Amino acid sequence: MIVAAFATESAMHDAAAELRRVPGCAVETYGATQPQEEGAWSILPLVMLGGGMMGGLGGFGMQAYATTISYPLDIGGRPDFSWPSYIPATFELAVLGAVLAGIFGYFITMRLPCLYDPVDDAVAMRDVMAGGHVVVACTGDMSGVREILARHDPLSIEVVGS
Amino acid sequence: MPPLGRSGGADASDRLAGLSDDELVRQFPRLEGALSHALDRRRTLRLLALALASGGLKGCDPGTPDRGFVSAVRAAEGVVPGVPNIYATAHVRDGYAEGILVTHQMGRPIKVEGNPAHPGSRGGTDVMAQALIHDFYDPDRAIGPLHHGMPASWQDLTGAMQRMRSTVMAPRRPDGTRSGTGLRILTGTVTSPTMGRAIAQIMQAYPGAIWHQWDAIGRKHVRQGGMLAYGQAVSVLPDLTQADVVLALDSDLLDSAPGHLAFARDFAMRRNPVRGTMNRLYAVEATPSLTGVAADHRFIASPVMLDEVIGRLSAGLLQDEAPSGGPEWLGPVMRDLRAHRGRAFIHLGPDHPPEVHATVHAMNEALGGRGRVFDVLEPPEYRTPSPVDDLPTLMEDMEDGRVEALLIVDVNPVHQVPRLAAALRHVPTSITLADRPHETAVATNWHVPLAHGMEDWGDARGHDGTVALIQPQAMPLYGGMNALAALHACVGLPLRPAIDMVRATWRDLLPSQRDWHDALATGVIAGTACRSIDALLQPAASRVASPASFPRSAAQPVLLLRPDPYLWDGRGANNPWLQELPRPLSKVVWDNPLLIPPDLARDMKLRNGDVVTLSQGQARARLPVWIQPGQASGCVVGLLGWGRQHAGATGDDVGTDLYPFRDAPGPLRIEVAKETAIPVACTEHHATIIGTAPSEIARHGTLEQFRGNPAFLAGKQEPDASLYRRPPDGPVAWGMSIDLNACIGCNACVTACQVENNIPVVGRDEVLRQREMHWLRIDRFHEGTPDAPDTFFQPMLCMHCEQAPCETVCPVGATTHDSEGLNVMVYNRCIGTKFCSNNCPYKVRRFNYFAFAQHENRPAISRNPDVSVRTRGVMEKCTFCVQRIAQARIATDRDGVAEQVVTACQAACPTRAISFGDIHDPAAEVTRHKASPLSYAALPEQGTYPRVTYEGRIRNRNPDIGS
Amino acid sequence: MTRGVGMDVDVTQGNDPLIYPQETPASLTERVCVATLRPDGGMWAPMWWWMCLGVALLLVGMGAVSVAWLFYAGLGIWGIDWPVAWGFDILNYVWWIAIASGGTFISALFFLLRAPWRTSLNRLAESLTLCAALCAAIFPILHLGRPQFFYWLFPYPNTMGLWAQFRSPLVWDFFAILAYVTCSILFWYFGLLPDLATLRDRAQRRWQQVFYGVLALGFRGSARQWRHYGPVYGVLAALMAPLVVSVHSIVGMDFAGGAATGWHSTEFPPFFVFGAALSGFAIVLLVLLPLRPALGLEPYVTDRHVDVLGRLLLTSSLCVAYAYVMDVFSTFYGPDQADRTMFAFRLHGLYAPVYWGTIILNIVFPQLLWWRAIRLNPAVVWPICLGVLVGMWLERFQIIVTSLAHTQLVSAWGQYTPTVWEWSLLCGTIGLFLTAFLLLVRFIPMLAMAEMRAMLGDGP
Repeated sequence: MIVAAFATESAMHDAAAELRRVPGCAVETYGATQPQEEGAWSILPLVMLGGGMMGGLGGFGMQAYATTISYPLDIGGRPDFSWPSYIPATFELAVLGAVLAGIFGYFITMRLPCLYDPVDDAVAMRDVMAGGHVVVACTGDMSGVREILARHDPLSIEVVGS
Repeated sequence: MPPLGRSGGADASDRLAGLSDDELVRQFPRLEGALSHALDRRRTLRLLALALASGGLKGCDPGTPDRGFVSAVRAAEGVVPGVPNIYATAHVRDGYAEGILVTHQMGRPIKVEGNPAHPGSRGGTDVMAQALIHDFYDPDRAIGPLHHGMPASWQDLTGAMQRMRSTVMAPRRPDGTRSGTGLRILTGTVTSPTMGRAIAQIMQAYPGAIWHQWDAIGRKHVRQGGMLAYGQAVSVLPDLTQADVVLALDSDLLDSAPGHLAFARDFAMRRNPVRGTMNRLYAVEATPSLTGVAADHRFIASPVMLDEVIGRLSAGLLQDEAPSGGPEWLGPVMRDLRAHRGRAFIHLGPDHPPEVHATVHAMNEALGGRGRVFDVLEPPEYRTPSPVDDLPTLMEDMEDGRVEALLIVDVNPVHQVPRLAAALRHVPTSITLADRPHETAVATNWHVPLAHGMEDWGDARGHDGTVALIQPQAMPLYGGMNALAALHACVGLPLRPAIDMVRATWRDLLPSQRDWHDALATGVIAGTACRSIDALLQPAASRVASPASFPRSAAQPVLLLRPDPYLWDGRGANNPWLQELPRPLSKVVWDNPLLIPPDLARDMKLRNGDVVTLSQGQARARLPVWIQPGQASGCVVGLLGWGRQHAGATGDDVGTDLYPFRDAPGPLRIEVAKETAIPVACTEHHATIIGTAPSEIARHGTLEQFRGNPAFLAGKQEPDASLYRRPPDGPVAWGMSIDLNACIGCNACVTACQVENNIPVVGRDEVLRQREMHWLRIDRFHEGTPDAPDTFFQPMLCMHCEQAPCETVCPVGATTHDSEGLNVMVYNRCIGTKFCSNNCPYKVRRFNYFAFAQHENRPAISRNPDVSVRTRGVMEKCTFCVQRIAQARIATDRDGVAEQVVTACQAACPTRAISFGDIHDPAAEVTRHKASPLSYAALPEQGTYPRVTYEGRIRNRNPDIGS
Repeated sequence: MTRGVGMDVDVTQGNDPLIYPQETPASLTERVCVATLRPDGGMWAPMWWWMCLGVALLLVGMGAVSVAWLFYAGLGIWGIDWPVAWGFDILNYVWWIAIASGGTFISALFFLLRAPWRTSLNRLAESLTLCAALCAAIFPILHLGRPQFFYWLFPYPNTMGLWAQFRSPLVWDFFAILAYVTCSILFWYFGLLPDLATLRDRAQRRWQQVFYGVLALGFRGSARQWRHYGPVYGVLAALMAPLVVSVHSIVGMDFAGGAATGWHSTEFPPFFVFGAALSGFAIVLLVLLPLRPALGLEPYVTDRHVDVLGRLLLTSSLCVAYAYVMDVFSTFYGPDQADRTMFAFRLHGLYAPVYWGTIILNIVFPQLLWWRAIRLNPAVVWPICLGVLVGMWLERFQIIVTSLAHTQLVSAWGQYTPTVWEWSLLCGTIGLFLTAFLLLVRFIPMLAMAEMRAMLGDGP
């Protein structure tokens, strides 16, 4: 795989865009800040919605079950199914469910934790989270890709792995 | 179970003679010392036989022919149902018996109830009877003979007695005086015919001996007053059910006079306008008492003023003088008394001199109530053939060396009469017979350990003369001897088992075994009440009283010494239940501060707990003060019975001993001490709040208002509309109604609750930290000014709210409702958030901040096995005696007939103020009381729908007297 | 929410910039990393840090002794009693949880509001939240008579078939704390991921590389990771904001759900939210003012930030003032005589100083913040913040103790005097708070580098 570092974000994007047109070439960019992309879309908010629903409904269901079917008690003459008093716990559990779904959903979709990745062998990767801009391309013929990258005057080009 | 076995006292010594020494030691460990020496074995065995006669060996039940006890008939009202075994006996205080029934669980006495068949109890009990259980199990009781306060062997004791007999009681004395000269026997008031006979026999055997009678808190003046008035010993017995107007002068009628339980019951019967016509009670007193609080009008009078009042009163009633001068209320009161001729009664407290008592008798005769509101009877005290002397003469004789041998039976004069302690030094042989090693026991040469009253055979008369039989409830726990037998043993008279002595006394009245059993079962011997006598009033008595009873001038403060309501003369000092029971009016526990009137506090700038130095003649004391609203200005009140030195682990050095002030000459001086205030433990932690209107909580009004609109107290009611559909009631719905008209605030219910429910005592320091544990407390409210407040009592316990605020906030459901409407507390589930207590508007929940139960100085077997003992960190509260409800439920299932449930507080209440039962049963007393127009719920605005309701207090005020 | 907060405004311009003009992403990264990693290997941590830590650990020790003795001897060692069954335990719990709120308000609420100043503060504020929440979470367990059974509040399967009693505000509270603590930690950690990655790449020493490498979980800043990162962070913020409000409403319901005088009031939930915000902002300012020079944060935390926080403090103080006024109003407008008696006791009873102290410290002093000059003067702002924290503590004392000491029944009135064990426990939690925070200051960047970089954009 070929790893190229660029001075500016725009240069990195141009290079990446051009490489993506190369058939059979997988491209990924790395940067210290969120890349500006139009129409970025993520499934995770929906996952969190689902987690919230589960937490809330589950919480309410648990309370209703506990106080009406499982072990009904006469508490201060209140009705067994005293739903208003279930609401606070229900809300808290809903939020908890959503948050857990979000965080762990993210980890799962991103396959984190992942402490080693072949690209880590590239020296350029060291500067990514400190403001560097890196394009990584994986393809069969190195020469073509190397030309394209070179055209966008990279700071460095290195070949790592096989 | 009471002892069952097949061995008697008579044959005991023979059997013992057959035993080898080590067998003996095995059975009487304390004998080891005695047997190890070369000893007169026979004499020791003889003594042992005494111990046996009083029930010493396992399974030994001296004398009951079939070796069994006969359990009480369960028909009578007030008998607690569903409890294993109940045995009748009596609690004797200063000679006068109060019939009790002792409940046994698995053979151990665990609870005392009143004996409905006994006229002095009528099913009710007082605090001291309730607390008997703790005395019985008290580990500080006497466990063996003492010589000069040091443990001694029985053998030495018998030796000493032998010597005494050889000198004092020698038939032919060297100086030719009669046998027994120099022998003195000091007892308290004796009503017991058997004990009387026993002593009389001694008097016969030793003609030279002299019998002295004395009580620390005596009623000598009352008796002498009767003597003055009627020319012979009498007892005047009021019948309060017949009295329409009662004037109580410094009276102890409702709180401590012999028969006070009966008087309180009769009085209460006429207090609820819904259930009869009210009587009217005027109280004139220097310091508030239960009688004063119960009165419709309470007038504050210092002793000086009281003398004046009595003087003017007698002038008015005996010589029909028009009332002139005196306090403005005197006229109306006198008119009221006159208006109710034949239905008016005047009662005078025991502190006043005999002449005044005589005058009061004369006034009562003049009011023409004899035969209806009061009767003149033979006195219940034992009347001796030979005259009986009292303590002062004894002490003179001692100091003059005329006393060679002194037997002190079951009184503690060394603590109560400082002079005696000194006088004892002149007595060669002094022997104390007592059930605990108290001050006298250690001050005399010898202490012979007696059995506790509940381990003993005996009898005693009640206030009206009715004889109550005393039967042992268990083997002597600490091997004490029987009082009767021990007495005879000391003087070397032939020994007989106590039961035979008692039986012999009543042979003619109870000829057959069956009669005897019935008497034991009911606890009383029918028909033994004193007969009324037609003694005529001595003309001398009718003269107007002009007594200079106390040497006093209005200028200096007067010190009034009263017995502590619970420790009495000091005998209760080692009983933590009594120590920690709030005094009815001051709510003080574990101390006896000097009670001072508010104006004195203002003048001397004293606050509760400030320390003063009290001095009179030789007597000195430093003690904290407590401001007592409604106390006559110029009077300070001290409670006797405190500051004991040999009471036991609990009672030693608690409070201040004020006995030295009793006969101290000279003026009283009170100086503010430099030292910082001593915190006084009190269960009303806001101190005394005056003028905070209890009118909403402890509701009260006058008879006029009631006549105008019976429901005038209904006032604020619960909101009818509730958010919730109330859950349906179960098979029964438990509820309680408390009649504030009947409640006199005597605290018997509080102690009964504590005993029944294993409620721990927490001690002075924890009370100071506001952590007392009483499930049932009696709230006291003052209304008006500190100088003359109106005071109201209100028992406060768990209300078992139908919509209980405590239940909704418990995070683990440790307190919930059951189908019978009980607010149940699940100790094992409680994690101790204390939110329930915060949320309880009535603040009736108590929390175990420490493992209080563990640190109590009482054996585990003394606890009620039906009630779990709570651990550290859990909440507890009144359960409506759920264990009794459960027992009743079981009995009902078994017998098919509905058992009646009686809670501990209800059973103890002498005035029947508490009714409890199924509020759905229209016939139930509680239902009828809840239907009363006076019925109301406390704090209704909280919407808790309590199952406990109150009947508001109505006072029958005299319209001619402005409040 | 494509990029970090506040890209639309240029934060380095204007006469009162949020960030000094000469700062660039590179310089920021450099400065923060050097502060955290200390590559020069110089003194391991600055002197003031060691001194603070020493004091903090002393306090922690004190607290540990207090807790040990509590478990051994039982609740009786505290001053709580029959009428006043809650004291320092609940008081300090409410106080700490309120302090914790500040971080969440700033980092979540103002993230949603797109307030550009928020970016320089959120890491610091959130760290404070964690430490305070930690201290708060201790008390609900310690205040139990039988703490060993605290887990009975969990809905867990047990042989008795028993459940928690869901109608109890304490159970609501339990769930609220559970959710709040968990979510705060996760929210804080999620925002921290990119910075941990940066530190990992910048670390020289081995242990640092391993330490931060593990914590970073392999976040490499790939386009794909970034694409999902933004939306998730946004939704998290959108959840945290209502969560913190609900938590403090529920804490309010612990009392409003009770029947005691002075508790049973519908205004309590918002009242407690106001109070939480007040103490939250106060603690942030209190810590920020000394920390700014100590960590050399001046270029990024400028007077603008102090100014904004000052205004927030003033605003929340006014909200609390409103709540106090409503408290008086509803008491004397309402029908309950007992409430009025209790309030009179509050005003001139045994604990009157507590009430008036509350008013002065929470309401009167903060009014100084109307003047900008004062807002920018640390020498005045700092004492005010300290006063507010004390004032909020007094407020809780006044709500809990004063009310319980004067409930409906005259015969059940009492008082409460804390013992040395309660004081030492309070000190212990303060020490715990300091210790935890000092450790975070040392090992975690107190500036959210990634977001700051986004805000600064690509430097030249």
